[in-house]
Amino acid sequence: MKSIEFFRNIPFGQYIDNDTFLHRLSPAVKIVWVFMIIVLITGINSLVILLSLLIITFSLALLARINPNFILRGLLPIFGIVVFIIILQLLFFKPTGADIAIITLGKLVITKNLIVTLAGIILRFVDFMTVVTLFTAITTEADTVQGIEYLMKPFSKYSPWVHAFAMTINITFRFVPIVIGELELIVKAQVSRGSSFSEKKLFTGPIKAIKDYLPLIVPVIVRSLDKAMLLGDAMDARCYRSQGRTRYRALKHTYMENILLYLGFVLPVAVLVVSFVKKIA
Amino acid sequence: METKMVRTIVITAVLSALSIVFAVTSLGYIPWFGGISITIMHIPVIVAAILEGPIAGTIVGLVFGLTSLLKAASAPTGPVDLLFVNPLVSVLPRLFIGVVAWLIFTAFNGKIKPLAVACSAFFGTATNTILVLTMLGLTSAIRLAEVIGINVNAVPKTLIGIAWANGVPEAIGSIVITLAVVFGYWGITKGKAKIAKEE
Amino acid sequence: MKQTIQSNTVLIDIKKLSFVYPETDAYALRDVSLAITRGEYVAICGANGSGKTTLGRCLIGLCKPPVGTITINGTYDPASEENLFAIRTTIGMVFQSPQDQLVASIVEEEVAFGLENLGIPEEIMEYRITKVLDTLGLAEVRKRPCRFLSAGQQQRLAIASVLAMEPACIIFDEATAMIDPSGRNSILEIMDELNAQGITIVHITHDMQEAARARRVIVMNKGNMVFDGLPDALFALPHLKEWRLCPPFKPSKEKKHAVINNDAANKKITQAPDNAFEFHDVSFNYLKHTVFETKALENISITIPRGSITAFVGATGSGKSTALQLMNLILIPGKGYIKIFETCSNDKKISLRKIRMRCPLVIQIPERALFENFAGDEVAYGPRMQGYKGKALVERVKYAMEKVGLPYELYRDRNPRKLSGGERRKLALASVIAMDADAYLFDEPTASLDPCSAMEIMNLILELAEQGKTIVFATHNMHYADFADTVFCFDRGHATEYLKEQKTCADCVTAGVNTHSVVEFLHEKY
Repeated sequence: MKSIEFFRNIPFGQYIDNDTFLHRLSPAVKIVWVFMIIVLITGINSLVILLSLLIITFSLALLARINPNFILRGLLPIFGIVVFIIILQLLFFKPTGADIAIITLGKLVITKNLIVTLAGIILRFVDFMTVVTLFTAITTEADTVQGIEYLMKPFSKYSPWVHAFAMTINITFRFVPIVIGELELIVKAQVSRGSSFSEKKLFTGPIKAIKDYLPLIVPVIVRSLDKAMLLGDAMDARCYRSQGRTRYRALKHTYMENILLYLGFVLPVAVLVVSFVKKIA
Repeated sequence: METKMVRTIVITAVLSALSIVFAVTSLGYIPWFGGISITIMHIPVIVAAILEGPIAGTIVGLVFGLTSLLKAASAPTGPVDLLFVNPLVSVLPRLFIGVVAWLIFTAFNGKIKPLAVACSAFFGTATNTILVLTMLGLTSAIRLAEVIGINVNAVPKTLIGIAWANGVPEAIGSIVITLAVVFGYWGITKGKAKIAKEE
Repeated sequence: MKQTIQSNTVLIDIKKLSFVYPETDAYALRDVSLAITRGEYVAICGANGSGKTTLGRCLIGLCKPPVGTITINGTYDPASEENLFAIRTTIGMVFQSPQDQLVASIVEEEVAFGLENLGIPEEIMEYRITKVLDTLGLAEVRKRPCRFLSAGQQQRLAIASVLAMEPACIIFDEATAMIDPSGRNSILEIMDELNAQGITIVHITHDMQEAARARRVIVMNKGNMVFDGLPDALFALPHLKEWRLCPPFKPSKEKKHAVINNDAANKKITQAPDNAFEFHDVSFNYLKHTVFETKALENISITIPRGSITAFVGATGSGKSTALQLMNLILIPGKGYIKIFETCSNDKKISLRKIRMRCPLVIQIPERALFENFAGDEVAYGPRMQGYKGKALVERVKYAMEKVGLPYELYRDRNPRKLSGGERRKLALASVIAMDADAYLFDEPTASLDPCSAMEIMNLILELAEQGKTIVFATHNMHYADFADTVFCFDRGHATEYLKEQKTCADCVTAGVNTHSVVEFLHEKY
């Protein structure tokens, strides 16, 4: 028995308001680095690099004065699935010729390759979560939008739609709590008139889930579209245009931040190339 | 021109926000028979394409893809989710839903609006199902086989099976919901109340 | 028109403006002619759906008026796309819903948004932003996210954002309708202040008390302009009711009488031992165990007898809505328990659904949550959930729709989104009346309705009470609270009880209830 509170699920607001240089660092730099780390995580198989990435992000978190517990708590939800992967791998992993058995328990053979594969999968997960948690902890939504806008600035002379895109992202952030509010409203109206809506739909079976959810989804989308038009009016009334505007508190990069930005582009490419060359050699 | 642009911006933004909300509240994934879930996440993408064109559709598709990537990585619900921690599977295919939905809509639009919307919803959904499963097969057939516990050679067959099992209910759901949303938004309701049948 | 208008100072000139919304056949505006001079303070009044908002929207080209019917500043025509920029820098607009008009996520950036569009250099922006935020008392929240502001603050922010663009005229489109009394007063004061500084104010409202602040009132009825003159002249007119308006509110004697009758009926019922609702030391926090945890109610113990009418009053955020949602078990008490018709909320075996259907809650501005495509289906939703089918179901729906004055035959197949504001509120009410429950909970049943519609809704509620239903409603409007047998005053999560016969003004003040409106109300009453 739970209260109906969709705001519980709101993804933003993990921001931790410390005043460190990492918080003050240009959001554009942070975005590029996070993006590149994610590319590395998905593109690299070396355990050493994965592990060092993890160590780097954790040290950055410490520099941003973020309690390690905060990040570890974010890892909890994936714990179950990690256990599941381990079991699956144990059952289906087939050792190849060049493999070395480390532990043999009856039929179960734990080999070196198995451990390497497992460690890779788990490290990837942990890396990913840590990086994303760290980013949201040191960057506000408004900063994120500014960062994206900054990164797109070089292209904006080609089309007014580039600015429009940055505006779209900004408004998307604005709409998330509004849409959640709408959702909560319609659920409350239906529940109070006898709908048996339950948040634990996994256990109620597909037919009932559909019966509960369909009458919800259509009005939520339609009402949200209506709200969008209201905001559109408000923007029109305040003379929104994508060209000929100025920017308040436009992001300005220091010399150092520019170097970091370019490093963010160059470094991962270098790592990927090196590891690729190594593989061939 | 600016007014038109404002409209596109706010509608794209609200549908992107809906995608995010559907993803985090898991409203976008309805549990279906046999432990798999069918998704309605592509519906905002199709709606965006119908209302505001291919660019809007692609942006909302990008948001859908990113939420699916983040969801797979941060709160996976099953072993298959792991394979979605790959932008080639989770993001890339979703960029095409809007384009296809818009192409079909404009091709059919003009004469019978409901038909145009329904076809657009159908082909939009089909794009999602087919492209995602194809990318899954191309990028991670071996891990997929491991994870579901089948032989690698049986992967294509299994994927086609999933395509039917998931694709059909998703297409039907998508047609019904998209029609209701688009016409609800346009303020066009025809016919009689359900209660008329009870008299 | 009484004023002599010099042509060089006319800001807005409307000549025979008619407007029909696309895909409808009724005139939203018909032959409206009107001139507004610089520095004027005009209220445009009218019931829900009278065309007053459409008029405002036409002025800044949000609705496309016919070419040549409107002239702004002597030269610009809102029908032409090229003129819109000039018009919208001259005339700003503050909309009804505070939340839906904010673009940015941070307060200062919200103010900056309009200035950025105008292409104003950053140093000047900085100066203007600081100035307007100071003027509107928002300097302290400058760096905060907009969504953590109260509705009143959000609306002030919306005004600040328009003001920073230095318009000659500001249109307030029912800008106070969704704000509690104290927030509302501060906004009205700002409007007076701005007018004193020479800004033309056009205030679109259906609240006559607010209209009385203007120096000139224009009344709209069914798309026609029916009055243009001084507020006092308007209130003296005998046929105000025909326009669905009434002079600044005084609770009518007649209504009080109805309540007294009800009291007599109650006495019988309250002698029975049972209470409809009992709060036992209830506390509730929103978003428990998250960083956003906020206290909403603290150790509330109140009882509400069966068949009584109870009002919850208090400022926004005082906990009255929370209390109503707890009574419907949409929210579950964090500490303590609620007895609802002898069932305890902490009993693990209860069916939430069954309890909720015995005391349906009508949420704030309930038409927001109308979700069916047809009015008939909307009303049928509740009874259908209760298991009614066929003839019996239709019977229920018919009864409820008849009751609220939306005849079944006429309204069954109408789209709720296409009904007027008042009709939609009635439909939302019908949809719970159809459930024939034991108790009804209303969260601000009259919010943002014109006086006549509000009175109709209040009468419907009183009628339900006469049938012996338990009624609990939350309200900002102390005059409506007057209809209740018991008033609970909420303040920062605590509730104080005032019975009808108690003389409680002094108590109220000593209890630390500083809600401006409550004090004002109790003062007026005794």
